[in-house]
Parts: sequence; C-alpha cells; structure tokens
Amino acid sequence: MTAVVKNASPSSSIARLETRERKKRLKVTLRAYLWLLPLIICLAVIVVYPLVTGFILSFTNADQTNIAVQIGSVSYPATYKFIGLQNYFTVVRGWFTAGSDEQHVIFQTIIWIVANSIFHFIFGLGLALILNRKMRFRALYRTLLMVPWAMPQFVAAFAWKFLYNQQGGYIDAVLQALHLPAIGWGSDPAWALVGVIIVNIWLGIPFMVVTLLGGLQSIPAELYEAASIDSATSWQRFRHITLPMLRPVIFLVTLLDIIWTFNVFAVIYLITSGGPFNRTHTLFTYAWAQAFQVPQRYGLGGAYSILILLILLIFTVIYSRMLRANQTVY
Amino acid sequence: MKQRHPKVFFARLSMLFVPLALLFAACGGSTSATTSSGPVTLNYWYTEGTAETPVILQLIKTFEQQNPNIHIHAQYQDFAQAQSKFTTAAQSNTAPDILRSDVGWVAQFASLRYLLPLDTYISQSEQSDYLPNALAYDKYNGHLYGLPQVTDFLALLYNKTAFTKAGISAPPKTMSDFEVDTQKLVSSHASKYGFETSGASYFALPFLWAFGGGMIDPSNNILVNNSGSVAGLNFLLKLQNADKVMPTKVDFNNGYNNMVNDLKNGTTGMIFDGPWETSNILSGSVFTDKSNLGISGIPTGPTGATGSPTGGQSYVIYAGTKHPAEAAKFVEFMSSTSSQIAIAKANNTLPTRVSAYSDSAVTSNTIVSGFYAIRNTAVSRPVIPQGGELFTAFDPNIQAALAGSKSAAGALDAVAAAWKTLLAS
Repeated sequence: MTAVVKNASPSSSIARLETRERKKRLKVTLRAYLWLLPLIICLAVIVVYPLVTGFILSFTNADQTNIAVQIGSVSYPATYKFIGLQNYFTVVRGWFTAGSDEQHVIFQTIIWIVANSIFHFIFGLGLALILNRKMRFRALYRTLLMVPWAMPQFVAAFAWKFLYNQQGGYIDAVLQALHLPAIGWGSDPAWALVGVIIVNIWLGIPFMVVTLLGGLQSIPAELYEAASIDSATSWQRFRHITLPMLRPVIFLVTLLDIIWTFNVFAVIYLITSGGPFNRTHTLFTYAWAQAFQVPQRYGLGGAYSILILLILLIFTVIYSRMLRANQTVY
Repeated sequence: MKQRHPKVFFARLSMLFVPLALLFAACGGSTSATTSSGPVTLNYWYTEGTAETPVILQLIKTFEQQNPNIHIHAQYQDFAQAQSKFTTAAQSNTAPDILRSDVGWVAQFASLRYLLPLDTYISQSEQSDYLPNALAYDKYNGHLYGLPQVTDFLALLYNKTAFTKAGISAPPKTMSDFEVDTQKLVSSHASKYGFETSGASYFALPFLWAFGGGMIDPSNNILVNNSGSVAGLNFLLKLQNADKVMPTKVDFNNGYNNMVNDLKNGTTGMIFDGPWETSNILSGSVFTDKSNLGISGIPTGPTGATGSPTGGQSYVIYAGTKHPAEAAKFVEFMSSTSSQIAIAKANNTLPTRVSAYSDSAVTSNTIVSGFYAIRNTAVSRPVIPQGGELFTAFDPNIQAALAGSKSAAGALDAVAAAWKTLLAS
C-alpha cells in the first residue's frame, strides 16, 4: 500500500531519508556503547580513578599518618596539606644530587632499559629468523620457546635467585669447579644488575620471537624469489626486504617492549629487593618503595608516577617520530 | 509502521541487561553476613616460621575447645611484609582482629591509632607478671597496646665439635678472643668460615655496642656514628676483609638463609642469632646431637661493654575490631603462663612472664636457660614510633660498608643524617 504523505517533495523525502539514516547510526552507536559500558566502567575504576587520585595526592604531603582511615566504626578524616610542587622538586633535586640514591636509580633505569631492549630484539629477531625456516621439530622448538613466557614471573624469579646464590647456587658452583672466580650476584651491585637483566631478557624473548615470526611470515615469498633471481646475497635480502617489510612490526614490538621493561617489578623485587644498597632499583621499583614501604609517602609516590607517565609519553612521541612508522612501506 | 517482533524485543532487552549484569557481578565483593548472636570468628595473623607454628596452632585449637562460641581463623603472613600489609589493611578497616606484631612496630601502630588499648582488659597485677623490658615495648603514651609473646636477643651460637677440633676450650669472652677463635677455626679446617653475618644491620649491632657505640639514646641523641660505633663496624669489616674468616662477600639476596644454613651444615663455626631460629638450626646435619649447639653471650669490647638488640613479638588487637572482648580473651589466653610454657618448650624461645620461668620444663630447657643466663647483655632499642623505620636507612648503608662501596665512617654518617631527618619529622 502506498502511504499518502503530505508535502511530498523530493528534497524533504531525501531529508527524511537522511534523518532516518542518522537515527539508525545513532542506534547502532548507542548499542555499541552499551556493550562497552562494563569495560569503560572497569577501566575508569582500575585505571582512571587511581591515576587521578595519584595526580591529586602528588600535590600534597599525604603519607600513612595523615590520610583518611576507617578503623572499625570510626573514620578519621584526612589531614594532609596541599604543598604544591614540592614533591616534584624533591624528586628532581634527588636526580641532580651527585652520588645520591636517586641519581644512581636513573642510571640503573637507563642501563636496564637499553640492555633489555637491545638483547630482546637481537635474540628475538635471530630466533625468529631461524624458526622461520623449515626444519625438523620446528613445532617442538616453538613450544619450548614459550616456557619462559608461560611461567609466572615469580616462579622464574625464585628459580634464578636460587641459581644466583653465592653459597650453593649452581652458577657459582660450576664456576668454582672450572677454577674461575666466583661472581658476586648478590654482593656486587654491578653483577646484581647484570643478574636481573639476564633474567628479564630470558623472560622477554618469547614475546619478541612470536611477534617477529608473525611479521616474517607475512612477507610475501615472491619478493625473496625475485631477489634470489637477481642474485642478491642473504645479507642483502635481509637488509633490503626483511627489515623494511618488518618495520611497522618492529616499531610496535620494540615500543611495547620498552614500556613493559620500564614497568617490570616482580623480577627486580623478588630477586634483589632493589639490590645491594638500592643499586638494582629502577625508577619504577624505587617509586613503589617510596610509596608503599613504611612510612608510605603517597604524595611522593604520586609525584613519581606522574613523572614516569610523562617520561613514557614523551618517549612514545619521540620514538614514533624517529621511526616514522606512520609511513607504511607498501 | 514496523511490527515489533517479540524476538527482536527480547533481544534488545537482553542487550540492555546483560552488560549491566556482568558489571554488577564484577563489582560485587564478598560480603559475609555477620549474625549478632552465634559463633564469633576472629581473624589472627601470625608470623611464626614453619618450625615454630605447630605449637601455636595447637594452642589455638585448645582455646577454641575452651570457648566454643569463638572461632579463630589463623593466617600466616611473611614476616618481611607483615608490617606493610597490616598498615594497608588497617587504613581500610580490613585488618585482622589480632596480629602477632614485632615489638619494633607496636609504638608506630599505636601512634597511628590502629591498636586497641588493653588497659581495661589486663589488670595491673596481671601486668606486673611480665618482664619490665618486654612490656615496655608495648606501652605508648601511658597506655598498654599489646601483650608480649616472646622476648629475644642475639647470642653467639657456635658448633661445639668445631671448637674442639680447633682447640678452643671455651667460647670467646672478649672481641679479641673472638677474632683469635675465628682464625683458629679456619686455620685448623674445623670449619670453612669462622664467623658469618647476614648483612642486615640488626646482626651488625652487637659489634657497634661492644665497642661503645649504639643507635639512639633515650634522649633521642644519635649514637650510630660516634667513634665506638665506627670502631665496631671496622672490626666486622676487618674480620671479612683482612682476617678472611668470613665469606669473601655477603650475598645480600640470601644473607640470612645462608648464615643459618652454613651453621646447620658445619660450613661456619659461629653466628649471631636469636632463639627463634634454634628449632630450625637443631634440624641441621651437625646438630643431630642437640647438645652440640653452644650458646654464649656476645663477646665484650675493649671497654668491657657489650650488647645485643632486644627484640620480641607481641599480640596486638586492631582498634576497629568488632569483637574487642573476645579478642582480648584470646590474647590473654595466648600469653597466659601455661601457653608461654608450651611455646617455650616447643620453640626454645624465651617467655615474657616471670611466673613462666619458675616452671621446671622451662628451666630445664637448655636453649632457653642458655639465652636467659646471658639476658644481661640485651639492650633495648628505642621505643619510638619511628622505631621500625630506622632500619630503612640503616640496612643499605651497612650493606655498602660490607661490600666496600663506603667506608665504615662514611656509611654510619649517612645513617646518622637519615635518622636526623626521620626524628625531626
């Protein structure tokens, strides 16, 4: 049946079509947001609320003596005061005081990130290239490679801590059996840092391998065939085909790796607890110690978190510019 | 006009409710309904190690049998994290009703209003039965906030067989004898090391006190970097670096465990440790004959001074507990004379009640009487709210001195500077 509509003109019917289209899109969008609502609320509670609270507390002198507490039926109100940017000045001043713990923490953090990222990438790419070939037991190797990743971090930490024990640990026992000098994994700050870096490299390789392997497998084989027809050496193939094709993947995976390495806590805390006299603390674990070990200076911890957030944000922007990853290769 | 198909209608309705239902399910925590009458459940956090726990659980069972309307839910907490965990829980009203707290934490917890004052529950006559030094740790601002469970201090623990093999007839009385004995142990190959320390400042304190130093005096003057303290720390460094009677370098990741295990398997001849570890030590391979463990006082320094830090554990009650009367009853039971005797017998630790020391089971316990005989060497630590925090700056600097990164004087000066800011806050 044909509807008799008043004022039926071509322009108004197009307008009505557009409104109906808009309404349909709005309905779909609203429905999508309704499904996303639990996730948004969870993110807001777990991520946004602590972030905002930390940000606000970083401008106060909040610690365990003056925050609001609820003891039984009595609730004591908070008595911390607004102190402006003093916490930030304390942190940054510590970074520039020669020989202070805070300055050592900065150097340790840089060493930690650079060493971990470089070796994660080298070992990851190397293993991915090897596993990309057809070989026997390839599936077995790939499964074994997942073990460090599948293992809970604290299990790995305790296992390595046992190996590193200077009296009875297997590594020093083997070294002494070979008449080599024992290594002070727990007593020498430099070796302690090397020790936790080794553990974290070991833990981080699988992720690199899996992601880079996926990237390698998406490179069309015709490119390699064309290159071998043009008698390119394997190094030239690697440099001119593999690396450029992998570039978006490399950018993403190294960025993620650097951010995750920065945020590693369990490995350092469980093996050395920040190490001989705070010499294996990174900025992240040191901030935790300030915030949560007695006297639990929440204001200072908040200042550390905001500074860490700023550092990581600035790094992400610079890094993406550096690799110009927004330009796709093909 | 479009016809609303019932299927479509219900599909849309479910789309509205499913996300919200998931949300509420995720948000819902466990809320236990507490009935006003009926059995009361108390949460108890204990920090005893594996070797010391059985008698505690046994006592809890006895208490529950005597008080059928009270149930104790006992939970083990790692000693290293118990202080932070209790603080965090206390701030949000999720703390246990009763905690076995280190004596160094009680003043701080009390100053933060986390603890229930026990003056109304424990009579004066009851309080007079406790050793005054032990009870002093649980007093703050004129009120009593805990009941001491055990008191302890460090003693010289040694391997008697190793001593005989090295030709040492009696444990060293002075620090110079101590140095000679460590060298005898090593040169005669009676043990690989003469002495071992854990790397923590607590176990280096006896050296500081023996040479005339200290931590903080009762008027809050800092003693940790005076000449006596520096001399004491230098003596320890001499044992490690010059005399080479200790492991070349302390493994700080495993310092305490290595120290204890090395005494247990005969690798080291002497350590400083407290009664809490004796049950574990006696399970070592060289102590199958329990009389092989020797206990002696910390050797005296050149001026005749000596000292070992007094520690201990107390039962404290959370101020926000819903059942203060029942919690007080539990605490009174656990620190009653009979309970203390049972704990002393099983764990070789020192009771805190004078009446417990008249029991034959306690006095005949060689370990307990061994420690009790040298109680005069014990020195109380400062009972201030910042008492537990003193070690935050102390430990890293002692580690730096032992690792050779700082000189003894430099390390202790850094500690003094940190304590100055701490005490001023």
